Amino acid sequence: MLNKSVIKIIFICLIATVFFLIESAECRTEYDYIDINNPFIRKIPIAVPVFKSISGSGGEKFLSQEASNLLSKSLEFTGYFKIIDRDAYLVDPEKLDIIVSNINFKNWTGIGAELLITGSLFLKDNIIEMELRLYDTFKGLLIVGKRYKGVVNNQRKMIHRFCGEVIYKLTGNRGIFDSKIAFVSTSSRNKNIYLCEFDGRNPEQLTYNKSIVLSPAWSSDAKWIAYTSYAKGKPDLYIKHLKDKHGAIVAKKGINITPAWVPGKFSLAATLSFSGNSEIYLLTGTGKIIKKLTNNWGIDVSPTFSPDGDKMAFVSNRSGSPQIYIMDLDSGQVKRLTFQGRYNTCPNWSPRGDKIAYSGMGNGQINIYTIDVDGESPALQLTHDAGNNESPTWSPDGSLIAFSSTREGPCRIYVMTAYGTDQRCLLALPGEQTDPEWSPRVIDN
Amino acid sequence: MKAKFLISTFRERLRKINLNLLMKESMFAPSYLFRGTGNDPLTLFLPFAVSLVCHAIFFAILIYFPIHTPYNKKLLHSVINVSMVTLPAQGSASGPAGEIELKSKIQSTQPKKARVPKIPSKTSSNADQSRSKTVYVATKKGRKIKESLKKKTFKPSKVVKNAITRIEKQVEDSRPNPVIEAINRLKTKVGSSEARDIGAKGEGLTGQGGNIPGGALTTGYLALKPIDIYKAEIPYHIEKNWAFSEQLSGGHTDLVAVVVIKIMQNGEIKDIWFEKKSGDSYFDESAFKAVKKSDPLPELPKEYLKPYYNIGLIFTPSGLKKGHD
Amino acid sequence: MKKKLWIWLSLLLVIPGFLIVTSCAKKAVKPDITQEDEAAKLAAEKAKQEEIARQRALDEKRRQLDEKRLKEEAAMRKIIAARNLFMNEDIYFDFDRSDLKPETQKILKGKAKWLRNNFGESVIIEGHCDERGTNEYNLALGDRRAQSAKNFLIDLGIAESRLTTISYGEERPADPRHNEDAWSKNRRDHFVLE
Repeated sequence: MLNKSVIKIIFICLIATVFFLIESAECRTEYDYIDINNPFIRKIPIAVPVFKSISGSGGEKFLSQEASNLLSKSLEFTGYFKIIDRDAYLVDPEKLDIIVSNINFKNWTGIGAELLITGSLFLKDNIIEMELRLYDTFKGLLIVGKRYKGVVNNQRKMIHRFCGEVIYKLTGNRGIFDSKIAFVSTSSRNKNIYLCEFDGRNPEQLTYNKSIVLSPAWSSDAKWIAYTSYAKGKPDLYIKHLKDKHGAIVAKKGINITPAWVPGKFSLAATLSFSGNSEIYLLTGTGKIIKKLTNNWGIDVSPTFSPDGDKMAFVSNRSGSPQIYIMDLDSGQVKRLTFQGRYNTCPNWSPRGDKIAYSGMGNGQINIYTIDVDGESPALQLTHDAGNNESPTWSPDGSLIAFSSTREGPCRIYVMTAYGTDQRCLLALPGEQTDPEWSPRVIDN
Repeated sequence: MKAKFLISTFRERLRKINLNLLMKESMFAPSYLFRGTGNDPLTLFLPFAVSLVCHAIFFAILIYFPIHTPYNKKLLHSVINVSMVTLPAQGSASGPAGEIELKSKIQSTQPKKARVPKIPSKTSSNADQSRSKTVYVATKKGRKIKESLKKKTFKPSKVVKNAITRIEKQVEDSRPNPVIEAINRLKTKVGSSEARDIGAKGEGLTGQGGNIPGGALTTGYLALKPIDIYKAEIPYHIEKNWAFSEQLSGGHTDLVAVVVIKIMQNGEIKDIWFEKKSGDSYFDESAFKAVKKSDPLPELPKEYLKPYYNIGLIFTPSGLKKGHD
Repeated sequence: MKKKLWIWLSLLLVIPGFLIVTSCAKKAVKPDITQEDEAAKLAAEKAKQEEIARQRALDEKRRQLDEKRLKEEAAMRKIIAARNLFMNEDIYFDFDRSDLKPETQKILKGKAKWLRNNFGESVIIEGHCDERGTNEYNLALGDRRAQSAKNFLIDLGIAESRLTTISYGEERPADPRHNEDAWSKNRRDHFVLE
């Protein structure tokens, strides 16, 4: 009995020792771990050398330069990329190889480029032909290659189409390159609506009122625009087809303001106060009331829809101060979203659906915030100590936010990434610019 | 965020603890047995002897395999102490002699100047410094860059230099004083467990300042090994080359990827493999590219006698949040 | 009154008569003054007196008319002043508020009184906000400010049909400066007569 137990004990001990030894031996091949958690470069380094001119003519070279610069600028605008300075290139621009079999990718990885875009341009009789290719320099792989042909005037469009391809390959989204931004400007002394391209280029005046025009809103097919105008002396709602210029006017007693289109539908929500109190109504695209959405003693204003159109966020002061609420349109249930601060307005629902951007007042300043739609995490402040920042609007891919700011004195339109980085002025026009509204993708343009 | 990794390490630890328990069981189980059969003094002696043997074996193993003793991440961190002012000379066999004035460097603005112990060859640290600056520029222009970096001046006429300084600046801007931060990070991590450790060991530590101990130690003596300093530098080299766009990741900061690399004597990264992928291919690729771009790393310290050094890099984008909060 | 006037007139005639008599008495020393001359003179004198009297009466009448006109003018001025006061006296609000303060209510009572006295007048109530806060919300807030004044006036018996509201939000500041002084002047209801 005793012996047995002793043997047992020794046996166990032996097994234990053996295990221990094995464990130790195992550790021979193990290694330490260290944390890598802070990327220094927060963008994708990309090289965009000047396109190769096929014939080498002066005009062609000029266009190549212009096209490659536009490509760089447009990609940089998205905030995804860090364009590597051409002066750092190891490759002689004259001897640039553009086809995968010829490219020595070490020349590009060596300068830190993770992506490379090569292009060639051929000009004949005012027709340009461009071949553009995007490479993964580390894998030495062609990610996407496209050939474009068209009149010189369409160069910009071609470049933007390729930018769309690049972004699509990286994010699965077509991006912003065919979108526009509507805004209000006092350039013509009176407040009127203007349109410009996503990067602030080619601004054009849309309305020519001699009064006040406010709050432009795009329909989700980008063919209609609704806005508030004082053309008849009081704030009325105008619904206009962008091309044909026909449309409808909602001119009820009181205010007719803050239109917002229902995604995918020819109907919109707006605040009307003909009942004596401002409430949000659902209207047809022809301006007829479908139904009253809010019913509350307080102010209800500034609707914005979730991308699926099932929910609507809006501003209400029913709790005593303006705050953002979310209404489930089926059940009519209303939930308060913002609890930080005493003045939160201008909600704009991200096209990705997960976030709402808004402007909130704190310490006498108005700043842009984003908040998760579930309201579970605290809002993220995107602008800091830079004047008053209002009217955030998401780019159609949800990657950027345009807003108005008084950081440089007069109110202008600025753009930043959805995380508040890369804040920059969109365009400089005389007067003041407010109320930016980013269009959905303009398909037929 | 790091939960998954923690779980895996925890599992590993559990396994080890089980082993220890097993041993303990082996030692104490008999006493229960004997209690049942009677109180023979001889029977009491036996478990004692067994226990003694076990202990002897245990310590023998410890002494024989100091480098390969299993230690996990937590233990590892718990013995790295970076908050000291000076490093007393080490008496351990492989430990280098010399002083490190880390703390004073922590306050200085030039992280790269942080003096690394005077390793006889003094190659590694210097070599990597110069190399670290030539992120975007390869051999051809290496010299030029060094110049501009040294001067750190802005000459509008010389666009090349401009560009490089800008790049350099951006690198620094995006995360000022990276080494300092890395060190601080270590410090905070260590801080909490430090006291406990000191208490547990009760030796080898003096009141003023601490030691950078040998990486392989779990108990007993503490020694600063060059490989540990080397290890502490690696994050800087990798992070410097790591390009990751939060915007592109869609704001997911809970990604974890573990990449293991095999570093040769000359600093060359020989093998790269994923121990764990995050599932987000963009994130995984960015980690992979960061390692690729960091090749070669600084040479391994001369004191490190083995032909290569394996290390696991735990990539998480958690540092992004600090950027604009 | 009239009697007195006659007495006065007769006195006016008699006293110069005496004066003439006395002067004539002196002149009577002169032998060449005849009775006829005397009579002619008297007649002329009388006519003259009458002329003067008529003149005075006319003056008096004119004066009275003037007085009346002045009175009317003053009354008119008063009416205009009241009207101007109605149009120019704004009512003010606290930040992000649209409720009427006691002093505001007093002003509105005055306005209601004026509107009661001026049946024909209709009024546009303009609601304004300061530049702080956001445009969209301020449009609604301005509307609410105008509404609250309108409702108050309705409660005081002014017909709703005479009251219209317009919100200008922060589009038409009274004071373009960017400080609390200006803001407090801009958070207002302004009254315009149609």
